[in-house]
Amino acid sequence: MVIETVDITKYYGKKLGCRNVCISVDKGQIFGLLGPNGAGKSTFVKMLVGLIHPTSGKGFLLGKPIGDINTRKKIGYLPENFKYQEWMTGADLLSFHASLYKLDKRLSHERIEDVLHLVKLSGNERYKISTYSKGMQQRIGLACALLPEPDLLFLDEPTSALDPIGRKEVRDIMLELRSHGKTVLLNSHLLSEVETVCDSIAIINKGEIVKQGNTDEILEGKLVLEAVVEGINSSIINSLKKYDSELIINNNKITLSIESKDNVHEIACMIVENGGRLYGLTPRRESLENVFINLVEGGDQV
Amino acid sequence: MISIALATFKEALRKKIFLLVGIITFIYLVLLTLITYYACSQNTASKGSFDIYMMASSFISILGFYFSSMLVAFLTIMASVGSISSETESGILHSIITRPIKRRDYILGKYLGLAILTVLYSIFLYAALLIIYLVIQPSLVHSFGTLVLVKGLLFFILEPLAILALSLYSSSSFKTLGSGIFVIAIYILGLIGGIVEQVGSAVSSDTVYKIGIISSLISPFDVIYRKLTNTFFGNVGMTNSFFVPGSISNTAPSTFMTIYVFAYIIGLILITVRKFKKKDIG
Repeated sequence: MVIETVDITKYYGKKLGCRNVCISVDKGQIFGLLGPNGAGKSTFVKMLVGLIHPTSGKGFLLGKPIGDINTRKKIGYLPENFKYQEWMTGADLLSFHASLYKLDKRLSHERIEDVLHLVKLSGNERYKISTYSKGMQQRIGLACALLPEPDLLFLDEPTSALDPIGRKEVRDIMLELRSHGKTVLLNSHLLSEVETVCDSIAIINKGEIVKQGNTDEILEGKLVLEAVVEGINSSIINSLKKYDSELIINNNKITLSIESKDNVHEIACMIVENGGRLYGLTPRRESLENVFINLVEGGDQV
Repeated sequence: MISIALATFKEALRKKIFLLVGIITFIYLVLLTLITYYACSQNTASKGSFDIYMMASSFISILGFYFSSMLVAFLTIMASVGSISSETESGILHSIITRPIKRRDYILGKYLGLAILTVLYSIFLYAALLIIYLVIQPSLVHSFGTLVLVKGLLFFILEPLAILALSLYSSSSFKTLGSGIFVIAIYILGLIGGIVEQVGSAVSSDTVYKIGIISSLISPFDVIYRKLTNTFFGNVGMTNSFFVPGSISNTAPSTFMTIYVFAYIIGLILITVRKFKKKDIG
């Protein structure tokens, strides 16, 4: 396992940060961490990267306990509050981080060129960070995190300051890293982003993990079926309510949740048998947003 | 550690604080030259006894060293009070201490970078002072001898190193504003403590003297300054610019206090490292 935590817990005095968090992330995966504000995601990430000390529990990165200095040579981290020394130029900043990673001069020079190209900042490195836009600062931060060709990369809201093109570029970088067997932990509020790139997901709420697994597993079993029907009558509605008592009817469109794709054929037959004229039947996976909202709101009600 | 030290040194050089200190230093040196020149020419003109001339020269020199050590203290405090706290508050620290460096090395690197800066500045100011005194008061500075001058320099450097240790402790413990207030308060306590200690000695009040000693233990910066002036002017009977020459003497800090200052610096650095290691950087 590249990331493994066992009952890792953090209390700030009496206030809970996160509790008994257990996750395992395989090599070559993009792992998404989701949760509402204040759920404990950042606390968890900060414990993994060594900014915060856990109150109890254990964590291992690349097989070594959290905080192992040598392991950090292979770990990149882009903080949520990306802020860098404004008096430095982009090149100064990258050289500084290359020296922190203890890269030798030749390698450092090569890597700086590479990462500048990767984050599309080539030519801007001679300017001071204070003149960079927020998006550029986030890009240079990502470049710093990518300097050591990390085996494990922590990205805490990596696209918060980027425009849609920048977001896509960061997604492409993540996918590229994965294709080279690198592991990425992505902490993001952008559910569509997580849904698009992540192999597995953990949803954290009130400091505890409420759901985790492969992205497909989490979304599986939550199918939404849209049927376009003319001649909707009470027989059709009553028979469909067996599948979803809270189905929605909008003009000639019926939307309902179903357990599996196997239900689709039965529903088609049922509509036709009850006198409806079926013009369209589209099963689609429930969005991560819905799953997320249901889990978080469900947790809140409890 | 070296990376942090270099970055810290460069940061201090590139920030406006260095330019500000440079301007203040220039103005200060010009003023000091003028004051020293006119004061000495007055004394020479009056053709008083050699003892009076020596006394007056010492007094002016002590003033020069006093304000110079304050200037060094000012630079040290300004450059260091926010060195850790501002990086913590802004989040710059997040991307630094998650790299493969030990937290201990971060603190030591900060100390080293700022120490190089303040030591270089101290040497410059010390040399400038000696040049002024050599040109205007040759008889006095010539009489010091190389050994005394080197010893004086070491004490002149020791004060910013001690302030720096306190300042980094403060910067790793408090926010920048609080850190600044804390260090300046302790520094002023030392100045007042030094005076109280001498007053206690002069009026033979054990209680007052002890209060002064306790203040000096908490803030030994004035002790270092008095060690410096005693190295130069002890034989003239003056160790503090606030007092009339000859009225209070023999208040030179003991060798124990010199050893204590070294222990103070090392102790504070160790405490800062230990505290910073356990700190949650949120």
